[in-house]
Amino acid sequence: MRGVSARVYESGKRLALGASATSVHWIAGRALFALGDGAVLSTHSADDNQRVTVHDGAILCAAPHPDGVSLLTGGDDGKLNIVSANGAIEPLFESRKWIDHLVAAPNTGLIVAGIGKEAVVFREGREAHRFTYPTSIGGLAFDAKGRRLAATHYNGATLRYALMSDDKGVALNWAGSHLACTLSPDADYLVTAMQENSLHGWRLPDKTDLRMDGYPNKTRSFSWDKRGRWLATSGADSAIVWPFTGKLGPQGKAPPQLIPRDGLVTAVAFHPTEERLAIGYSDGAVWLATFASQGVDELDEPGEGAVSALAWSADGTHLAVGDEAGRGAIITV
Amino acid sequence: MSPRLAPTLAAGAQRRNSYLSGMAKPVPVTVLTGFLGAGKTTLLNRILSEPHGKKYAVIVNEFGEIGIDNDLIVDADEEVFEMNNGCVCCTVRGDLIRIIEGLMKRQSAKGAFDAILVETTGLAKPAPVAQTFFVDADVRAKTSLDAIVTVVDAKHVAGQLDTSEEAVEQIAFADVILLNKTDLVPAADLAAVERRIRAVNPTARLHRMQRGDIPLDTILNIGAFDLARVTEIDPHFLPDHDCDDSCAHHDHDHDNHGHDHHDHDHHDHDHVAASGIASVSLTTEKPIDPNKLLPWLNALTQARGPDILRLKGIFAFPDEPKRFVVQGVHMIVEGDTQRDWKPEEKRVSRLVFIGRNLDRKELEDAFLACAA
Repeated sequence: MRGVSARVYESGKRLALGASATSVHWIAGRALFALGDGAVLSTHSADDNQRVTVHDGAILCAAPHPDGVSLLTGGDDGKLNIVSANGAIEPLFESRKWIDHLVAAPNTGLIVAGIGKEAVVFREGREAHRFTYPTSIGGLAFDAKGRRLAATHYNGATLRYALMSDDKGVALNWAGSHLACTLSPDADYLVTAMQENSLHGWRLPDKTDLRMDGYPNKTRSFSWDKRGRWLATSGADSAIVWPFTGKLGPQGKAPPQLIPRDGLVTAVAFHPTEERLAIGYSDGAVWLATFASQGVDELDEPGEGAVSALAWSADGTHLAVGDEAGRGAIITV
Repeated sequence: MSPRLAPTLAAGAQRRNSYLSGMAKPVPVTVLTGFLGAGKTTLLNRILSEPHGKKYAVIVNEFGEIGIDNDLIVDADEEVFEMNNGCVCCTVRGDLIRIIEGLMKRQSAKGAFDAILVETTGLAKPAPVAQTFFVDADVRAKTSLDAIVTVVDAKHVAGQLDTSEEAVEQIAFADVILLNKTDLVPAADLAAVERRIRAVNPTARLHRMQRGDIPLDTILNIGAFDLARVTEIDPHFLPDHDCDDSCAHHDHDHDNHGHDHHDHDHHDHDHVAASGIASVSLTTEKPIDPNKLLPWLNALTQARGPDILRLKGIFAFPDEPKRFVVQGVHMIVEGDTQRDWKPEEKRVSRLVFIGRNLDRKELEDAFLACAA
């Protein structure tokens, strides 16, 4: 099941990224790849690539700027920069430490950077306040309204209203080291990836704990479908898709396991409008699962590194893919 | 199916997760421990300034006197996390996992650095650092722990061994011990210090040095955790080992200088450090039955994992032309067949424990009961 059948050869564009992909984001109709050598590569299916050096070192994290026309990038040079789709760079902040995590909320215009134990909140282009956590932040997530901010750390997570500088926060406790996290679009669930290769969840209205385990590796990639009914996750040999319907969410339900392959799922991305899931694997392959038809398509063949960046264009017609070995693609679906 | 950390000892052993390692060669990691003032920073600067043409990523706990152009210095927080898997001794450095993940982004296809050096604070216990490289699948796939190097101040180590558990553990965990500032200590005291170090750790390579003047090939690229590269687990078993004053084991029974180390009762009974950490070395010429040895080691490390800091073994199995080697840190144990026994080599099985509350008699009886 490999070779020239992959969709990338029929209707796609192969990219040499020149460094490992940290993430990819669609901004103003272009795909912007944030890269391990500090560069951002901007491209589109139809035209040329533009590569600009943004950081002296690696880009550790990136997120679309709330302005909708630029990308925020955080580096191991301690800088937080704003890169426009045409390659202009503007500095926003500088720290002595690595910028580990970045989230931004288009609704409220807030930007939050995770730097060691601190979450620095930016409002209207400047630092507004900081929240401090008991240990280094493992992951950050905003709710869909851009108000509540979840931060994970050792032995749990903390929820705060990002705008309230004095918010003591809601402590959610669970022993162990919590890493990447995601809030459901309705903000009813917080799900965290744990060092022990399992997911922990809290049903927020009543703080009920949920435990989702059996993963052979850590989950790094989460993706909710448009309606918030499914949460796709990486970390197993197939995409594990947890149902979040009904009162109890995934509790007591078996998740569909989509497209098992010989390897690990390292990135997942739901189509922006349809129940279709793009799945990237540790061998560099990308497959597409279509729920309604149970269709399975090979979008890209195995390469030399794990898929680390995966994003759909806003209209769902193009998928941008990047891997740890520096191979990229824009695939028309 | 909750994933658990189980001892991974099995014939065939645990392999690197090929799904994760991709094509890139794992980056070697050297861990530098030692008490405050022992000379870690001097040594680190020396490693970095040597004209070796290599680039290092250096993970330190405080920016400061280090800083060589070309190298990448990263500030760490020493966050020790317990793994939530029911294993009390299973701790990792959460910050290290995060930093290595970040460094690997920079590493990309080109290779931004050749090796990683991790400096710990003077009061750090080495176990969480070491275990990080075995417990975290991604770190394990992309890096390989090369050796734990402990710098010791010859003048002050005796006092530190009496009062500090961390100092004892740093020596107990070491693959290489660098006895620094030897010019400040009379020769007789030096021999006594070395004896005390040997009582805690008989298997480490012990070198004397002054102001960090040590050839880099004695501390880097050692492969101490690489089963394929385990040679001898106790230099005093080496047939051609040449004893001199630097050999710190000649405090007793030294009439027969022919080195008949047969029932060589090591000095685990004397000079037991204040923390109760000592070593037990066992040997037998009888072939060992893997079906008895492996279940025993598994059960022992499960039950006594917190007490066993390091273990190393080389075993001769019946009708097996290859040596079987084992190394372990607390409950994490790995074993695999290695090279063939050489024709002139005595097929002697050896097992060394370094840990707390070790009962030599109990371990010896159990070990000898594993004879085929």
